[in-house]
Amino acid sequence: MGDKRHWRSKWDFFSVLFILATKYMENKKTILIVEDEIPMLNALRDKFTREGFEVLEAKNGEEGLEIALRDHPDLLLLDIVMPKMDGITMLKRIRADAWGKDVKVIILTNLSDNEKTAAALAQGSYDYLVKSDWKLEDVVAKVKERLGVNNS
Amino acid sequence: MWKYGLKTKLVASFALMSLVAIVVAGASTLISMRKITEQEIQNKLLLLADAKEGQVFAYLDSLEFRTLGFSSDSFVRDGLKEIIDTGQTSAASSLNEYLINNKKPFDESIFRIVILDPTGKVVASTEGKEIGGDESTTEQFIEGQKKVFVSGEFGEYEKESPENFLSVAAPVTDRETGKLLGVIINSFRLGKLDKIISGEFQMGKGAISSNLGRSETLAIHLVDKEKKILAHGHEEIKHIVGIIDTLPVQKCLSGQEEITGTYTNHFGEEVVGASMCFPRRGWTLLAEIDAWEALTPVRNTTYGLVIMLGLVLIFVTLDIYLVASNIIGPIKKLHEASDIIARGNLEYRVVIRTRDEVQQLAEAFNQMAASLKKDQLKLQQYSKGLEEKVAEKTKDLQNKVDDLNKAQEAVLNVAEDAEEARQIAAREKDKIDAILHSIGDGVFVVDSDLNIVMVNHITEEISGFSEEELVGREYDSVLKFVFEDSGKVNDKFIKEAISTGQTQEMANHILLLRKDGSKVPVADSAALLKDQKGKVIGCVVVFRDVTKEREVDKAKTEFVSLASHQLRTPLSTVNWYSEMLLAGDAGKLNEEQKKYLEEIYKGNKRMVELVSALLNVSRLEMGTFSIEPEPVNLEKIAESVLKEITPDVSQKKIKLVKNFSSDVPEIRADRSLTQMIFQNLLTNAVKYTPDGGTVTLGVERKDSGILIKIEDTGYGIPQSQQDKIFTKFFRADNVRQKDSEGTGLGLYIVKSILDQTGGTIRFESVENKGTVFYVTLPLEGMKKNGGQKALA
Repeated sequence: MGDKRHWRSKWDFFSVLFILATKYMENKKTILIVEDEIPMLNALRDKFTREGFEVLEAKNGEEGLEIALRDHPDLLLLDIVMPKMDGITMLKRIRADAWGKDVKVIILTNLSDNEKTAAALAQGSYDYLVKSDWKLEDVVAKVKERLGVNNS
Repeated sequence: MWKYGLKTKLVASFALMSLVAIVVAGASTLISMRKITEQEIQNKLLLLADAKEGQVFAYLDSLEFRTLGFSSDSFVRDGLKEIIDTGQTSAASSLNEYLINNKKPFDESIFRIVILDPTGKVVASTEGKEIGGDESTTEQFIEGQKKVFVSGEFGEYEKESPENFLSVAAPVTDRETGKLLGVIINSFRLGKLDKIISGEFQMGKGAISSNLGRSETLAIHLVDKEKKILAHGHEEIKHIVGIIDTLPVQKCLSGQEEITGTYTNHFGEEVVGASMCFPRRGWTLLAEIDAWEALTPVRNTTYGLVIMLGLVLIFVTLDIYLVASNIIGPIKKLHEASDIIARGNLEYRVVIRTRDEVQQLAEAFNQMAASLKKDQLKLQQYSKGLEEKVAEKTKDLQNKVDDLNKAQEAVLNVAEDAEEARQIAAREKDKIDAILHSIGDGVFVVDSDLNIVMVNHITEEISGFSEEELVGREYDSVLKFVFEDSGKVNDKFIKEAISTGQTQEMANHILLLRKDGSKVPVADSAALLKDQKGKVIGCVVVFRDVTKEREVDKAKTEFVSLASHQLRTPLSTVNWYSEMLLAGDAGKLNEEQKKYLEEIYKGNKRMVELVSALLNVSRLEMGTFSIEPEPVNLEKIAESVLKEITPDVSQKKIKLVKNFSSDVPEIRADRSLTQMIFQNLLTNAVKYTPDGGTVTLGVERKDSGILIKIEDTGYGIPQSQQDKIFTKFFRADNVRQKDSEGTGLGLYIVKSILDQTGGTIRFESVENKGTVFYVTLPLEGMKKNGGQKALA
């Protein structure tokens, strides 16, 4: 919950404040992108930012869990194959949380695996998207759809 | 065979008897003969002796007569008287002369005359030297005085060695007065006596010799009282021997006993002899014959008897032998005959013509044989009758026996069959046992009541139960197969197999609960056991521990997934960046930039497709993809696929024709696989048809299954390459250049899917005209499998 707050720097604190403020003002939706592949993470972040989302980033499940529980994003974009903690485990942990059990989650992975799909869906993710099969703009569309945001 | 035959017995006993008889007879004969002979000889000897005695007496008488004559000679008397009265020597000498000349020559056996005076003095002698000698002590003088006296003397006379001679003394008396004047002694040689004794004298006188005179050993001798030979039959003997101290001599001298008998003579020889005694003088006359000679007749007889004995023995033996043969022969014949008859030849008759008891016996024998034959005939007849009866009865019996035998055979056959069957079964069982125990999978058999009847040791190993714990129990009380996901016991598959009569394969993801509670994943199948009539008698279940398999599969599929994930990651990065660039997110692009980027984007897209296709291919090849049939509406799936390819269709201005038959039912199929089939075939059709062409999709129901027909008016497939169309990465030459997209894996994937789900695919194609693909799906749908991952 909000117990663990790692303030890396004053700057984080302020940026958070700023984000919250702007988010509140603009009613921007926040999404947390959890992805260990950095280029991909950057691409996603750039795109979503351009699309007008607040983007939170995490490089692995552990970070993701921390940030999610701290910052309560509106939607999670989860990769599965990640070091330290994989996506499914992180999702489980999120769902164990009072806030987390309802948060919207989209799995975004390159792993086309029945088992994992089933596991993910069992944990209550809305979608299981295979990255290489999806255009970025379609991913954005999906996110907007899930969040009930109109296409801009 | 016979120790002592009759013949031997007879011969032996007869011989023995004859021997004994002859010996006894002979012996007694000989003994009596000997006695008689002895007696005879003795008698003869006695006679002889007697005769000789007479002769001796006669001789002695003659001597006495002579001497008496001399003594009564008047000259002698006067002379003597003169001598005695006067004593003149002249008288003596004239007497001497007278004696010598006149008297002595009278008898040539006189060798000396001596006259003694009454004193015993020799007054006259034919031998001068004797005159004057004293003979008063001599016997002759003493006895001669009385009367004439004969005595034997021993002394020398003419011969050089002293010999015996006889002296006869007679008294000389006065002629007138009769007064004893003296004694005259004549000395006589014994020659005559010898001759008398030997018989020569008689022979000389012309007497016929006695037969005993022919005897060689006959010895007659006269022995004086000094036991010296006076006279002897054989001149030579007289000089040799000394004293004759033999039995008769002793007897004569001791008791004047005359004897006849056998005794030992002075040579030590055995003699038969008779003795005569002259008691006054003490002389013994012996007539002896060598006993050996005496008994010669006896001896000869003995020899004769012995020879005769021998001959008799031989003849007796021969005779008895013959007789025995005579008797034994017939007996033997009888014996042979009885043998022959005993052997069965009752016709045989024995012929014996010995005219004795044996012949009688033979006749009796023959009669017996004849009656035997009669009896035999009777018997034969009787037995024939019996035989017939017996044959009849036997036939009856035989029939019964045959029946019984048949019955027995039948039973035996059955038993044999049963035994054979049992043996076959046993052998089969052994075979099965051997096979079962060498199978590397677990095998167990249940009967129709679901009781375990046998297990092999792999079953024991996998399940952890021992044979004893399993056999005989109801199988699901010990061997619990549970579904992996639900944990529920799968007890159906054996029951289903038995009830449906079909082999069942157990569903996937089955675990076997081991004895210790642990679970082991297994793959198995149950097949039915049927008897010869086809009735289900049990079930054979074969299962194996697939833990390793699973692990391997798991590892493989995870590797593939991981590999594809790793491949996709950079591809999607490129994808999105290209997309963003193309969307102008990083700034406006000029035409050229746009073009290049598009190429990048397209190439990337191809690679992504390739990775997906490869992932599917590897899953197909590993057989680890899942087939999860569910009721699908083929039309709907086809529509969704068509929707997906709409952009390409409209871009190429392809005309789409849809022919969905109304009676196509929903079939059980795996949704994604069906989708893939449609996808691949439809995209191919569009891809390989030039602009303005037509693609026709038809789905209809046939008896063999659901037929999906996809037709295009495209480039077609060259005849020469049609056989390669379903191979991996194959692009026909004619389309390679026209369309550089495409993986070359689509048809391979479709075919593999259909192969593994029970469907079929075939095509017809003409180059530059078009191609038609025909896909049939079975009416019962796709088979479910236990694969772990779906193809994507």
